[in-house]
Amino acid sequence: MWTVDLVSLHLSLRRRLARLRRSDGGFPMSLDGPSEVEATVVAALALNDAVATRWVRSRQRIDGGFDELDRRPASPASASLASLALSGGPSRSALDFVLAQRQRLLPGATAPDDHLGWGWASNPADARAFVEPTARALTAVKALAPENASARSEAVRVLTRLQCADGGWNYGTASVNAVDLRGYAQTTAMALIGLQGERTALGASGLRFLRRSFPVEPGGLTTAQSLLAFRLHGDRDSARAAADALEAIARRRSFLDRPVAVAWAVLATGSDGLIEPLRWRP
Amino acid sequence: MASVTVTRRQLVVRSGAVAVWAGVGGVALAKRLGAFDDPPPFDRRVFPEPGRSAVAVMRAESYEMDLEGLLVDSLRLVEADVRRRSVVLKPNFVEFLPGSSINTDPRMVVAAANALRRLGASSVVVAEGPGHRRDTEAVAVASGLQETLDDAGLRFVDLNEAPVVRTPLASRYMGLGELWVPRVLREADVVVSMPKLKTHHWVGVTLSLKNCFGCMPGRVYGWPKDVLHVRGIPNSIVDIFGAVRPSLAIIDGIVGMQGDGPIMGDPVAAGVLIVSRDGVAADVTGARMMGMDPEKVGYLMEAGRFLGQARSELIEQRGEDPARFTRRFAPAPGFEKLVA
Repeated sequence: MWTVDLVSLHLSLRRRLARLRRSDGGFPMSLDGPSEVEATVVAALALNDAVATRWVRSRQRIDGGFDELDRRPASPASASLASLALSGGPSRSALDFVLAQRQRLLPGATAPDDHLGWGWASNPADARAFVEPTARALTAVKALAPENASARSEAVRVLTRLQCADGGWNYGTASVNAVDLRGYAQTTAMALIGLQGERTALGASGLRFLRRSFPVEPGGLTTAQSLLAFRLHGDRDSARAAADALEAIARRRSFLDRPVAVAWAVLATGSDGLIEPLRWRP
Repeated sequence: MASVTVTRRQLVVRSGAVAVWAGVGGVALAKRLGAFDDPPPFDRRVFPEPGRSAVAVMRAESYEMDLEGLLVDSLRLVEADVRRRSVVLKPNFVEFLPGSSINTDPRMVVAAANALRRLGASSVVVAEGPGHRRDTEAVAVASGLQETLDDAGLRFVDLNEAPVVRTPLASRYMGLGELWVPRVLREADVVVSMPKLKTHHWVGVTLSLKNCFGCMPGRVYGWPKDVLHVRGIPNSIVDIFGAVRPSLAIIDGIVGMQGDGPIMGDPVAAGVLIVSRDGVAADVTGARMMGMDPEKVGYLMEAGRFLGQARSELIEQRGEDPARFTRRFAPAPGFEKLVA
């Protein structure tokens, strides 16, 4: 299926990621940073790694959320991915925390169509629902609590409302002053990972947008997440094109020095078994 | 002349009235003198009263010209001393759109780095935390910034992912007591805000103060730095600028943006560079050169209380006469009232 040697690419990226690990077992957001929850969670998924998972568990609070080493609360969006990387009680606790974090699209909004979704910030007074946090939460709910239909449908409604006119998603604003804004490949890939298996037009229009947009947004994170989205949607031709692009990007220092992007690339190039935790099996 | 008899009760009432009127007059006078103002929402010990400032306006018609030489001249005009200092350049790469004038031109960024090196800076790095996009590398590569920096041997720091330090605020507009600020900015001797000359659909104009939104790490404040939007953009602008405290502003006005900025506006060839050690004074000058009345830009006037000089009579213009290069930028929708 692949035109690149995906296994070699995966192993090469895996070696690179392993070299970025900190002495405490976690992974940093940048070369000169300490271990952080977001980076370590993605690395734990990508490496299927017990040491990284233990580090994530060590940062979990009693409410299921996570704190950084400097006592900053980690984003609830990181907790969504943590729920997939952890297992047992810590995983359920992380998901419960995520489910308690649903926020309205606008602060203080009370209109019936102001759906609940998920945001980046942990303080409800400061947070609004945005695309990627909502998509991450949707992915976690589908994998771990598929019976929670209300959370699933709410997340899908939020993503429906935030979809751009071009079929993609940006951070979460489809238009400003009646001017349509563009979707981004990276955010669209994350939305599609959340939307896999939904019987709506959203996924089809999103995939069309992603096929034409990822080649012109040449970042490692974007390309890795696009590859993953195509694989999870069974779009082999597009996945092949994304893998080709990722192989070229994987030679760039500006990509290799980004632990989170490299971790997503390890995950995206991994075996079917490795990406299974993110797969929706209705 | 009729005699007037005043009872004791009338005397008390009239004396009270006089006291009230005297009191009201005194209050008015005291109010005018600021005696009853609430304590200012900033710490005057940290932010002394702004003094006189100098702003250099330079004619620059093209990105192909000797920008480095022009910047050396303009930095000398405003007496910027960067000898043996570590410098961080913060351009504006909030987003990338081919063919647009959203971003500080990469050639300007490199020219500034080279100019500062020529003037004795010990190190120069370039840093940005795009507000809209999580994939900073995609923005840097697609915009040409990454290749330009690589060619010039300049390091790029992604402020959305760089290590952060807790920074107590000495101003209180957002209601947050602290911000998490990238360490690279806190440890630099000189932070240079390098915005594009643009209109802005939420706050009228976006220049060196607003550009500092991109200093805030997305992994703490979200994309598009939504925590700070919720707290109010004007409030956030002044608190963030007070926390980062750039000591130089270089505004890229060779090609600016008018109308529905900061993303969807139209390019406008304004042909200027604006340089100052005072970001507020630079922004006041920039607003005026876009044909806007800076006194109608609320956050600029508030910043003028403590972050820099906003009063035109206390801003010394050096280099070219700004009036010669003032262009009437189309205002952002809803900001027609800003037009001078």
